[in-house]
Amino acid sequence: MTKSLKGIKRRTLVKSGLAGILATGVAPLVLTRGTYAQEYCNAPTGDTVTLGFNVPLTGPYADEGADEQRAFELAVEHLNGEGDGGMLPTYTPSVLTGQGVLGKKVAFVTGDTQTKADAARDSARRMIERDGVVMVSGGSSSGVAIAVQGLCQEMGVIFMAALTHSNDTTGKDKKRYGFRHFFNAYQTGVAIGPSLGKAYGNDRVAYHLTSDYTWGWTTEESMIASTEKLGWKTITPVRTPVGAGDFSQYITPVLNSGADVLILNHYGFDMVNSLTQAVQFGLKDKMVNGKQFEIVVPLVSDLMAKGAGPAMKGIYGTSNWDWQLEDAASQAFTKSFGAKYGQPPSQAAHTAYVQTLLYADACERAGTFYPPEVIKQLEGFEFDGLGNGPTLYRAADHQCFKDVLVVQGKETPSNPFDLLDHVDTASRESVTYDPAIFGGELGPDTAAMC
Amino acid sequence: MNATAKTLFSMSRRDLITLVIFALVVLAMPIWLSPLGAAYPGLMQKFAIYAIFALGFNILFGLTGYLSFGHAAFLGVGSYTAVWSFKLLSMDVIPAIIFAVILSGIFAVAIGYLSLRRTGIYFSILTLAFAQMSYNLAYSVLTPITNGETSLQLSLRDPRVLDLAFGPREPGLPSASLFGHTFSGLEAFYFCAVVLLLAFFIAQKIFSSPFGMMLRAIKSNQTRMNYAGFNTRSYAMTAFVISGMYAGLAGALLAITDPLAGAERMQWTASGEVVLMTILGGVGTLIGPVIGAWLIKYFENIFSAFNDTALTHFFGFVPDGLREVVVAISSKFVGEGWQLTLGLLFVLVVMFLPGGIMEGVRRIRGLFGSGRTPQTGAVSRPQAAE
Amino acid sequence: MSQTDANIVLHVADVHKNFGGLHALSDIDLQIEEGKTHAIIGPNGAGKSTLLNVIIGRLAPSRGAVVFDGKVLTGKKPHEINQMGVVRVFQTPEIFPELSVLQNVMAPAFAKRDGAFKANIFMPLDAEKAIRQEAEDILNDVGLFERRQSHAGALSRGDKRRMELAMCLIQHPKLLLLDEPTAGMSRHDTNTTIALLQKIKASGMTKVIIEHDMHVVFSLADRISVLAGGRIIAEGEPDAVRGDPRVQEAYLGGTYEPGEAH
Repeated sequence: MTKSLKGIKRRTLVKSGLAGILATGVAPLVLTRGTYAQEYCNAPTGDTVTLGFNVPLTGPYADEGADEQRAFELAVEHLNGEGDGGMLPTYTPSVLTGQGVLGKKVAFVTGDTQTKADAARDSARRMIERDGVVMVSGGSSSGVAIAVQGLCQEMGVIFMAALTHSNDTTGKDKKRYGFRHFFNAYQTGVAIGPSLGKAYGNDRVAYHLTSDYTWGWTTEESMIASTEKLGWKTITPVRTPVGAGDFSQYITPVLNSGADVLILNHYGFDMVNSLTQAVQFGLKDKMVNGKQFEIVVPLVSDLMAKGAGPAMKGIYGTSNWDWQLEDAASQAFTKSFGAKYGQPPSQAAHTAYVQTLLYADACERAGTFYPPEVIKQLEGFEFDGLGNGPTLYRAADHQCFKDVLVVQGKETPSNPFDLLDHVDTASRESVTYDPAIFGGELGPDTAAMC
Repeated sequence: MNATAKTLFSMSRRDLITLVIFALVVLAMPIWLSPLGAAYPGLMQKFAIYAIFALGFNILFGLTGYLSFGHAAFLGVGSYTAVWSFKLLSMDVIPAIIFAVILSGIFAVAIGYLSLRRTGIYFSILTLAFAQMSYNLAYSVLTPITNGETSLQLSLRDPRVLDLAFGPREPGLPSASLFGHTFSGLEAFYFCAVVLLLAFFIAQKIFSSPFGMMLRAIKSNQTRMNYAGFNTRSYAMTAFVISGMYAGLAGALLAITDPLAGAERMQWTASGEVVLMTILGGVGTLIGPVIGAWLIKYFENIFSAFNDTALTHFFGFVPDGLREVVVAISSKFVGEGWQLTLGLLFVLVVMFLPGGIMEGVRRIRGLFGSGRTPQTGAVSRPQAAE
Repeated sequence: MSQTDANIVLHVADVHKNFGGLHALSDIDLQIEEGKTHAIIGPNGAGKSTLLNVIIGRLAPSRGAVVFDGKVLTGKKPHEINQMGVVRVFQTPEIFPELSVLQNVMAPAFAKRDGAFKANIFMPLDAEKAIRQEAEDILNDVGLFERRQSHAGALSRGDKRRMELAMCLIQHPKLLLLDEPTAGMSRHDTNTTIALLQKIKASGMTKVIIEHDMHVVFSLADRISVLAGGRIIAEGEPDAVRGDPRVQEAYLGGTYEPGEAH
């Protein structure tokens, strides 16, 4: 009873709202909408389907956000059969046609999350309530991704997380409507351990500086677990606020702590700042406990390596993907992205692009945008040809399992984008874990009415 | 009894007309906001909620002149309290609102007691310090209560003792309800709108009461107030607590429309935002802060979502070659540049209309209606000679 | 001096006030009778304003006490002293510039009626007919009725002072303290104010006037104390004080006690 009532109200609202939007010309390509009964939130009824890309354009992760947005736009182009098709030809098993999705042209709207949970949810609600999107994607901060994922679960709209690396996203805060292609902190720990052991030995004392939120906490936890397995000791970690800018007050104590490795659980501008400042303080030139002082950055990207410049040289980290990978899919994507934007894509761009394709493909296979059916298609889906080798979307927690790259800052970059050396690959088997270790519940997949 | 009830609701003709017009404007939001692309429940709820926040803030800043830079703390307290009420007791909004208003009031008593020992910039700095302290507590110290940066959210395993005493646990996360009727979207907006009208009515009563005049007198000359026999600290304290409770109410409504409470809601930027709203709209006027709140929320939510595609569409009438230029220039002011536009607007208003948008309205009105009683400025509204 | 038979309203008992090494007030003993107008005169720097500030509680005396109506004023807050019935008119008018003239005069009436604090938001200001009527009557008395809707900040200095007087009178004080009520006024305004104060004098209100304009003092005072160098050097009926050679010396610029830090 209430449902149908609400449905009617919403429709009239959308109709009158739409007329107005069109009148001022700001309509983000939502052109026509029928008045058929909706069985689920934002069922597309015209000849377009709208996706919402919710990324940080301001705040400490703005670079990643901007790159994600580029990738989203590229993905939409390719889905609509424009451009060179990118990874559409390499992707298997694909039912994508390059004719839009389920015969509808793909449109999109964008929004700025400001790297804040409230603003991100506001932005996502605008996309869902006003612009009628059937899927929201985006990320760059796990805190924000988790907040938006929660909202999407409530409103019955699928959330295809882009860059979010916290264990919680598909761990204790996982949701039936949320899916993550990106790897996580736990996998970083497992992947980077052997390389750190080989390079720095088994007798080290690590000092952690950690971004004070879900991603930092879980990265710290995973890094401690994996380095202590090597035999390293850990000094009580220090938490730093997100977007701190100046980290000198946190770096000075490192020198006298007796630690000989600094692990920076920072991302985006935070990592660029803290790493640059740590290097300026001469940490990398110090000898402590008779050993060369080292710095480790668990999660690195090209964009951060670019920001940190020479400070990045020789630093170990992990990545979800790198544009210099030589498989056909990565090459195709890099070529397509480079042609449009004049620069190689970052891992943030890659995961954003992949998630959009995966969603579109799942809708094609389901034959509908009805979320419970789309979710069924994604759960347990095994695919290849998107740059990471064979990959599984695990049904139990909606986490993708694939190889993880261990990278190191290049000593002598040959060009401004050639910044990371791919030194090792952790196999998909080695980074697979029992979903029960993080707890959490997916919740029901019943279709909501927004 | 009858006489009490009469004074309780009695208001001047002018106030009554203002209230009726305001009610029409608020309730008709879904209609007049749609040409502006803002008629969706999520934003309209924010319009109503932040109007309440600004109204309350103006009772302190606009009337007494005490500029608090820490009001977001009360907003946050209200949100956390409401979410905890949802988690522990019931999804019903009434207990959530009551607890949120009471607890933020208690918080305001504590912070006000300490901050009101100073005036001027020292008062502002004290409130800023306390708010920043609350933010840090919420962000990293009291994480068992606040869940830190990840925000406090509902979970499938919440006790909700009252709800579960009357019915079984249903699958999925529950949503807010009023006497058993769950609501969201447009209904939630109308709920917030009704609460806003109530808050506006109370603000009107304060503005037109002797108490309101005392608050204005404190702003005007605190020494004279003391020597005229008034305990100005008590008056300022009362105004502080009332505005803290308004903020708590707004915080509760934020949690009702979206059951999530994050520490960033208490950050200094959020405190600064309500100062901007009030100054932009017109300090000390009843309507001004509401308009300021709407403008800022509009910029934040609509301008920030414009992208090049939308702009190209918007400038469709401009010839091809020129259009790219126009789009390239204007794109700097929308999307991630929305704060730039807002900043420019703010500078323009402060430079040319120091009394905010309401001063602009008065000036325009002055151009057309010269026969009106002369206005004596934003701060004082002398009683009309009968 | 023995005035035990008279009804003493204000007793400044043996008050000293030091600022560091400076003796601003020494051995001040003043008794002010009910219903009388008592003037305190003296040259600039004699300590008149310090004495007034001690009486009103703005400054705490270093020694001694101020007793009003049998209660010690020393250490009380300004609003508490006002609530006891001691009201002050300032040298530079302390008014509410942003409020209307009528509101300026109505506001203190609420402190008289409702006490130091009352937050009833349900009774509109417009409904407070009695207070409004009284304020209008007093504004009529001080000649500002026509300007009651004006912005108080826009009044001339003389009008502001008259309005401030009205703000004090509406509280029907037991003791009214006037700090140079005609300073900076034109001759015409001064005379109007004198006439007004004479009218109040007839009502039997006790007043203390600090003044150095002799014309004003001798028009109004029942009794005069002469302050010089922080001490009272003479006290008595206006005629007696007028002829006192020490007063003449003080007004010629000499100090009463050579060698005192001053």
